[in-house]
Amino acid sequence: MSGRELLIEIGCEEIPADWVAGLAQGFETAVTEGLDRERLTAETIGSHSTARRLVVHGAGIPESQPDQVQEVLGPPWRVARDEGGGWSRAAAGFARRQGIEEPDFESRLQAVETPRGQYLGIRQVVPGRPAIRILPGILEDALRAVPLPKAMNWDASIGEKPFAFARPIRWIVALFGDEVIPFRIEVTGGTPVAAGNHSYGHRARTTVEEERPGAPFPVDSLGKLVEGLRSRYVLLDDEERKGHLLAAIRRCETAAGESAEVGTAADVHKDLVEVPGAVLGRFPDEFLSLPKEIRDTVLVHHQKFFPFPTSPSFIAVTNLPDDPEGHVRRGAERVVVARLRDARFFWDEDRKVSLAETRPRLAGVVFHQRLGTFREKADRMEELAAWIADAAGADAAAASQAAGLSKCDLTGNLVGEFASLQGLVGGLLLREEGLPETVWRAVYDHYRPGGLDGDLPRGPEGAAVSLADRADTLAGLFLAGEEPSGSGDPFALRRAALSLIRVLRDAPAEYPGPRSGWPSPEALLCRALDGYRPDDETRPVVCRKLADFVNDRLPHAFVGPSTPKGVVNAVLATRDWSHPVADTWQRIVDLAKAVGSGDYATLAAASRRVRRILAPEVQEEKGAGLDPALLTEPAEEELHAALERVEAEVLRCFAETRYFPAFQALATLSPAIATFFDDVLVMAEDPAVRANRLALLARLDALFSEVGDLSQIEASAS
Amino acid sequence: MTFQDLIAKLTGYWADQGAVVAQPYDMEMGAGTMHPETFFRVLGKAPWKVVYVQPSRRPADGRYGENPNRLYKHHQLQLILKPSPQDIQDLYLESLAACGVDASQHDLRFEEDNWAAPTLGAWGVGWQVVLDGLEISQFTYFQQAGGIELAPISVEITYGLERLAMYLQDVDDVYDLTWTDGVDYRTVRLADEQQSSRYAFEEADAAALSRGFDEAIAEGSRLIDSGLVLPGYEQCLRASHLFNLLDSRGAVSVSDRPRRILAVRGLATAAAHRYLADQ
Repeated sequence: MSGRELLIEIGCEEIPADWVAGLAQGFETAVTEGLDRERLTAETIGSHSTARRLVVHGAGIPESQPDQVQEVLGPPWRVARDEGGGWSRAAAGFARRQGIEEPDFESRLQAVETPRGQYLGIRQVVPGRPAIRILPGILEDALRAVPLPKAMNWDASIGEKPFAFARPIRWIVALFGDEVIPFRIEVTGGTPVAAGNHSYGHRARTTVEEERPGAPFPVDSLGKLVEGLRSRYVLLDDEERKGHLLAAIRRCETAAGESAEVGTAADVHKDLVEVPGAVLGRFPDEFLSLPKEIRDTVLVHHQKFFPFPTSPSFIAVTNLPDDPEGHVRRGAERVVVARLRDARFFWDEDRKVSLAETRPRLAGVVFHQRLGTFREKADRMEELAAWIADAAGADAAAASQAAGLSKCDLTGNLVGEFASLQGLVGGLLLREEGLPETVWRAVYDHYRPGGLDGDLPRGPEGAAVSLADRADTLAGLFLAGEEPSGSGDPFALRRAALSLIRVLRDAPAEYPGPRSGWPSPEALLCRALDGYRPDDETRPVVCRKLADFVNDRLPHAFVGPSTPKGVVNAVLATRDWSHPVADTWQRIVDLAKAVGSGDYATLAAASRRVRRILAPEVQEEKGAGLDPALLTEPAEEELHAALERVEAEVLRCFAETRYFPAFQALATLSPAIATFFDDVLVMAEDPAVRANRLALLARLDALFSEVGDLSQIEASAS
Repeated sequence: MTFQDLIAKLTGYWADQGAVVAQPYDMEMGAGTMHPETFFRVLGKAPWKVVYVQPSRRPADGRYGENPNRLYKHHQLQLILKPSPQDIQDLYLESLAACGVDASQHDLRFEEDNWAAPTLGAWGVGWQVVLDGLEISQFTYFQQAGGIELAPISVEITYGLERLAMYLQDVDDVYDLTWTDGVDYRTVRLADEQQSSRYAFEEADAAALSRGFDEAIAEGSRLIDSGLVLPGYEQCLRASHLFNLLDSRGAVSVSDRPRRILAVRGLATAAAHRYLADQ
């Protein structure tokens, strides 16, 4: 590989862990683009990062830019020569301005073709500049281009222009081969941060003899940086760091005799530490009586520790590979016990009165300035949840009771302390009080699902409360004029709408009871809106806004790996928020399945063709109806016969909401349709025959329309 | 290390770094940030270094002296360095070393934690410093105060003294802390916690507090207008504390809350602007 290596390390104070990967990627992209822009493209480029450093490494970067040939245009070619055939005054003037003198005119001046015609011009070679001179600019631009979730002012500037970054930059390694790239960041009232060839390892530990921890060490290549950091307790490579972290966690799990609940958190944890370790901590058994949800909130949300399913233990990730004296473990245990003791205090306080007794306190919690308090919201939800549950064949009394109590935990101590436990705490308290499972679980689950993904409420009563909550919020906030605009959605109404659609989509299949009982979004939201008693003028306006909002979101809830956009659009051509979501969903799933197994390409093409033929101007020609006696060609007789058969089958299946066989039957029309269009001239001379054929196609179109807009389907295949 | 040794050690350390050792402000406040030595000194261009202890009252956190971790009044050791030295993280770690924390044996982290005080029109970015899982300091680069963009940027480091001392002394109950040899935290502070909690939750006269709040806002506004920035700001402190008391008494209605917060913020912002204009 020819060319030189580029090594950049931006040494920072701790970057927020969940930004690290994105910042490194953004920095690499910006450096790559800068090199390409300056024609210094690297043969390979890559990045590494920890909370304290962003590293970009490139190889095979040319010493300097390639020379470039530049054209400079002068006057139009037609005025370049004088009458005698020599160079005109205009041409000579242009040449001299470019530094060309008389004897060179003939060799340097030439005709250049441009889109605007022929011009006099010169070509000159612009020599490429050395990369080392260009790299400071590339570095500055790249640093400024790093996408920051939140920029911090730290009195810094580059080239007189203020420079904000994620956190203050404390050192920079910038090497092009063995040359330091001349680059510096000025700091008002401080020392400039100048690029050099020294890096820094772990603040408190080193394996290098006779070296103070945290002392600078020299680097001359990526390899030296990686090894230098490794001997100073920093693992630069992400995967290696994650591997060490997982291995440390495994060791704790072995000691605990149980797997910890780690999930995907290791990805963020690996960026919280530069050299991962893990310690196993324990807490007294007495805290096992505290509900696990509450224990886990203390351990996970507050301390970023990993809990275990049953063991009174936890794992703490550390920025040290070991804990020989047990200091870290004891410290972590002390914090956990203090926190658990606090949580138990709140749990005990909250259990002193029944949840129902605290309901009047909701009058002190504002739902929205213009919409009153949570007390009123709970009243509305009670009625709405009962109505939904009743229709869905669920326990309406339980749903109503749960809805009325669902918000009470907002005034309790535990939710005041751990907001993420809302709903859960209410459910747990009701379980403690001995309420039926249908009730406490409905409260516990009523914030589910958190959008299109995530678990559904475990029972239909919980689903009813969840729907009532979302519908009441959507209707109320639209009434209050708080609908989302552009990127602004402070009340997370888009997610609320998706959650609502999701529950309605999946509930009939998920829960026992009549599958057709769940309301359409329209029925649900309009009923919720009526809970606010809107006046006659406002109601239709808000309803229309809600309709647009929900209809816009329906495709999001339906398009998926096995339900392509074309199929979704085909069905949604005739279905919207006024139809039960689960039924629409069933049609989409079944149509997608049928499209995968039958000849829908012919149907889609036929649908488009029929639509064209049945354009409004010929509509009136199709006459009163179809007269089988007027069918003369075998192909049209065949299509008619097939249509008679399939139509009956499709309508029967639709009536039974068995869509897949209906769509399969529809596909069997394809050969007859193909033959018909091959053999039959629809626009026959004889007006009666023509009208009859149009009527036949109209009937076909009517059948298609039962499904939706079949012409959309092919669009999905392409 | 006793509680008072810890205070002396940290104060001495930062005094050696050239900081002015200021005294606690003689008025109630919720955090050391509200002390004029922080609120005003971070404004404008003039360099400043100051360290002080500020007893900080959070009426809603009162627990009648019964909770081993929560206090009506705790102590913050507050440091402001303007501009922020470039080796500030190292200086901070040295201050912990001076208190006996051996960083090579402990897990010390700077975890993202941004800070905002709406009533002061102030915010900053930084970290909570976590020692073996325990948050011991708040480390903030101020970006704005009194609604004013700051340059140069000050760094504020707030040590939670009780927490740090509990860690160093290896005790689980704050009241078991050794204040000085033979005297524990209980002896020095328990009665204050018990009585202040009772006052805040049961006895405080909400109507009088509410009147006091309105008076403080009016008086503060008048004083700042007439150029008496510091006395005016003291009324802002007074209003802020009265608001906290009203809140712990459950006497701030929801519609009342934004109005009162805006009123306090208005005073703080006016004081900051006037202070800068007078410099």
